[in-house]
Amino acid sequence: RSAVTGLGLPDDPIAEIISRLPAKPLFRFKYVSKAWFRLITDWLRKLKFPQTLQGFFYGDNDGNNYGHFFNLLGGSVPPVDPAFSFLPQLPETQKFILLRSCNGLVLFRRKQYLNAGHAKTLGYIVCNPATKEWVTVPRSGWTLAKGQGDYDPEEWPAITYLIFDPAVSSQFKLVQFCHDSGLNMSQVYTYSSKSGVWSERASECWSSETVGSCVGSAFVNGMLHLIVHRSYEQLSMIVAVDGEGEKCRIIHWAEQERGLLVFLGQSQGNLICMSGHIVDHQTGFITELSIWVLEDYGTEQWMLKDRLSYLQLFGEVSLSRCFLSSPIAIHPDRNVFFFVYSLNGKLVSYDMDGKEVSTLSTLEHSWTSFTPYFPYFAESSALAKKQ
Amino acid sequence: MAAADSCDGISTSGGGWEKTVTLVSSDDARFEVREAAASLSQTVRRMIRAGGDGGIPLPKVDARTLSTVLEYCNKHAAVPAPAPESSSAEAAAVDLEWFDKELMHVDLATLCSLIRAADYLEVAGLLDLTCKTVADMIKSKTAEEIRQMFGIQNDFTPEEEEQLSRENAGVFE
Repeated sequence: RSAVTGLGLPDDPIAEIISRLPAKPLFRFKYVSKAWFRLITDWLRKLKFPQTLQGFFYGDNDGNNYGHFFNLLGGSVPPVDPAFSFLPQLPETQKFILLRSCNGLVLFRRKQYLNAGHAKTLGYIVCNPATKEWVTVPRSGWTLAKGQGDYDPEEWPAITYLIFDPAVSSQFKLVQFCHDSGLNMSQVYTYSSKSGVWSERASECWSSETVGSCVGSAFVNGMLHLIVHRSYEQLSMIVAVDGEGEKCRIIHWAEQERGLLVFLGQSQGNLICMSGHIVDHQTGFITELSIWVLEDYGTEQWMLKDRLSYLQLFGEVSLSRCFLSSPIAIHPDRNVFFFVYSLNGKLVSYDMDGKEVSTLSTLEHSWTSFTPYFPYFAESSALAKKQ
Repeated sequence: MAAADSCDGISTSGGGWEKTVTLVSSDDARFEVREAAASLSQTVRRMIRAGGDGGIPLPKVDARTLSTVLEYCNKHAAVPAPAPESSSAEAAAVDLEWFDKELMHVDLATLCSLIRAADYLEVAGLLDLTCKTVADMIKSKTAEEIRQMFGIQNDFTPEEEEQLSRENAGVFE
């Protein structure tokens, strides 16, 4: 052990002190001496990769789809501020809508309420709740053709995804899939935090396709994976998209045999999906889910790992549709799946290895949406509390 | 089995006696401590288990530091684990927090001795407390102030310093 300080503190306690410092002073203290530089660099390297799933943000019935945090690691004090009070104050007629999270960053849309129940998107904000940094992003400018309805097009039928991979870059990207009012894709926009501008992408290869919005997504092999429905063939597939909005790969799905794709996620670097056969075509209800793992990405070998009924999960025959009881997340390091039952707010987990269902909580607040959260502690130049 | 047979070991029932151990500091001061308190140190716990006659020698901790460490251990080991959410549990937690705060009202050199001792003795709670206190103390300082506080030589050459700040420019603020 070398003495790092004149007061004779060995390395270990200095490392202990360093691990309790916020990010800002760490970058300053790197230059104290070579020993400090080495200790701080080691510590930052450890932080560079996102930690594990810590819990879920969810919303209340007061109209905010965030504000609460379910802490999977236990403890009464949430590890993050679920109210995001570090974000800039908005006038009363405006609101942030939490869209999604990716490897520690969280994406919000900034919405302005107009007269007569209309609203429009003013732009976006990307933030890191762990470092309380944020940056604003302008709106993409997508508009529907005349006569297609009076929606806020960036709220619907557009879907915006966040891509952030700290192992590759401290910059983030947004990919926006814009559908027409018939839900056929008509434009793809991408935004890069590096350039600070939105770009239009060629969208011919997406014609007559719809990106699923409440069915999960997965960031695997450096690409965003989404469930896409092709209307003219009446089939669904999984599509891999890069940060430029390019369709890089199509992973086919045999819907007849395997059932409807219900949820997509990732665990331990593999794509995982859940599917179910519709038991009542009138209502579209599903009673049992199959869990599939794409064990070989190259050859598209899906392995059926488990079957799970809603009776097992919720203790009653609940007929599932997306809005009644839905998978909300897959644990990134373990074979654990999370579901919520909207009729009673019951949050359950299913451990596939032990075949064990646990009720985590019955949420007091009538929830609106769930966003999984993986903390990422390093500061980023892409988010510097700037307008 | 007769109750008297079970007296070999720690007995805290009925407010009776408690087993104690003797710790010996580097400057040969002897401290008689309840075993429950001394066992907050994983190092001491291992030594107790290994057995032996006489006091447990702690050659890396002086009497002044050891007495503070033991003050911490005595206080923290005295708290039984009452039912959570009871009002007495809350009061005990508040009391302990005050105690910890008071204990940390010392200068940096003393804190560093405590950190060294907590690290060597493996008293996790005290190590956490002392490191947090130092982190709070230094977080708004500059690199130069850190060097002065800890008596550290800046061993970077001006060329190295310039290169580092170039490499890190733009990546982080």
